[in-house]
Amino acid sequence: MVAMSEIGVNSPMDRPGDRSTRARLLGVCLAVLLALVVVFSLTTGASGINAVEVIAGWLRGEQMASRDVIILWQIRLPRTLTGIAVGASLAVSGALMQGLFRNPLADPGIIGVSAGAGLGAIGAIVLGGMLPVALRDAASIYLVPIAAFFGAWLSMLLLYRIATRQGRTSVAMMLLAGIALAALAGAFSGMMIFIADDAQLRDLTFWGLGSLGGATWPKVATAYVIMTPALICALFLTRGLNGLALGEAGAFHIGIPVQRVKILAILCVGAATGAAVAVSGGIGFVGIVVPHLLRLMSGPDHRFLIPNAALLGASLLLIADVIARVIMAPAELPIGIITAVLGGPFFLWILLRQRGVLDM
Amino acid sequence: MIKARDITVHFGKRQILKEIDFIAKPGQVSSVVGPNGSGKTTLLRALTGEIACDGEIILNGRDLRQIPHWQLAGMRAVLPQSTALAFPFNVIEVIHLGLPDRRSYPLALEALSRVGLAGYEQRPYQELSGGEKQRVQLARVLAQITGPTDQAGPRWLFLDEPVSALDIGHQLQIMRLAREFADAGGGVVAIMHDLNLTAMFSDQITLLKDGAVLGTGRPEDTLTDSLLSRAYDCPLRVGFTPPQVPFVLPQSAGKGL
Repeated sequence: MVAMSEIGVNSPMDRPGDRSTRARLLGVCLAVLLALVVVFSLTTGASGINAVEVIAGWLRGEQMASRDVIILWQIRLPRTLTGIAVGASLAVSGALMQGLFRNPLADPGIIGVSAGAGLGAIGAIVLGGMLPVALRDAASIYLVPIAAFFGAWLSMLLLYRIATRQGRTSVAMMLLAGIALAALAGAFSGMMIFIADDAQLRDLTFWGLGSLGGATWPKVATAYVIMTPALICALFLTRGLNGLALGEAGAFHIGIPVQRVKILAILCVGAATGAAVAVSGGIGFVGIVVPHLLRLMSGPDHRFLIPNAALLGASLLLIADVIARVIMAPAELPIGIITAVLGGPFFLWILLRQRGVLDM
Repeated sequence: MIKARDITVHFGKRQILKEIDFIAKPGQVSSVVGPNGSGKTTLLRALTGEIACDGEIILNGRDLRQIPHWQLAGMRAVLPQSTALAFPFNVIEVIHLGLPDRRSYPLALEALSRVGLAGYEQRPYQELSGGEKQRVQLARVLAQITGPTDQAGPRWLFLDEPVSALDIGHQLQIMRLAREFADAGGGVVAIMHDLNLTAMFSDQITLLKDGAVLGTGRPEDTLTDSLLSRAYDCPLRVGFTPPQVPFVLPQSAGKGL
């Protein structure tokens, strides 16, 4: 033990209660897990190609069968990359929202932020045609994600305003306002669908299935352009979110720039959730399951929670996507169904554990 | 030294504090008492920089408004009445919330043993009793202003009704620790409810009523029959324990007294 502290290793023995080493180690394990899942995702699907063989062959300089190349390059790789982005974004959004609302039950899907993003996306698909042609061409493939971002961001802003008074967040207000918001966004989305024409309906149906199936390279690029800054920004909010656990006044007293942290966190959630919803439709529960599991494993410190949530969120979403692809192959189940079936009971379990806290 | 002059606070059209003057010296426990709604907590929030106010607040010779919040965090810390945490932090992690980084582990450990909770490092904060939670929070705020900073001058500990939710044993424990902090050269500003506890531990007491100062000075000067009865709108009588510490009793305490 003496030797370990001399060389600066903080073993749990000489720093009791310090879980930072464990959290870092967990991060390494999660990175390895993600790498394995990516290989798994690239090699699994309706067609029986083996990505390892394809890549090994390509490295040996062999000529690849064009069909394999197309499947790997045009279908599975963009799909896998989209899954990573969506999973990371949803998990980090959940962790950010929970830190901001000081409540482990906040999740973009549960309290209406995804519904807001969905309304934005549907609105863009249906009403996008009314925009001046020049503007529509300029926005092109970014129109839907940008509209989804604004939808998610406005819902977050509204929710935070409603649920938080004098620096304290009411759990009941947050959940109930979230329900109202989701219902309202759903109603407006319904109206949009009502006035949509046939081509738009087809777009909407594909989008609304909550699937990674439609992933194409332009979509991947769009998703990464919007999500990457949000996820990087989230890494700079971790100390602020830790401080916010003490309440807004408490955070101010320990020197956190509370207002800046709040504004940036809301923007990050808007961008990450908006982009995730825009490319994949409604995928629920990732944002609540992932941070909760990580807190159980290595504690609630956001400096480790946020990056680890990105890794675990990406892995879980890819696993769910693989299940969605193979469980009824060659047909595909919408991934939203898989995450809901896995996440719904999990959410109920968290609710039961939180029972005492909620009786306020 | 904290020197506040003409502190006035409005919430909307309502005036909460009216031209309050307040002075606190390092090495002393300066308490603020008064009935509910008299503006005690608002005064604390103004003095800690949490809310804006008219007037002037000088902290260690500097205008409070000119001190960036991260510097302020090294000069003063605030212990709230109670703190519930939504996430399962353990005790040592809670103390670290107020510290710049994890290299300060020895500092956190020392603060923990100062409040008599050595060995509690790994305990989940959410599972502690009310008294233990408050001691952990006190360790957190002590650690926050104990570490090295580039800020000169004494450190300040603000207590916002720190013992209102605790039993008498824990009340004394927390107040003794605050007293120790003052005796070691720091300054303590405490918003208090319990007049007797206040009398025991304070060097200076300021009595507020309706957002204005009714009296300020040594405990025996502020805690008088007439001032207290006026402040709380009920007949109160002040007695003295042997070494001249005042204690307060309601004049008609029921049961035929």
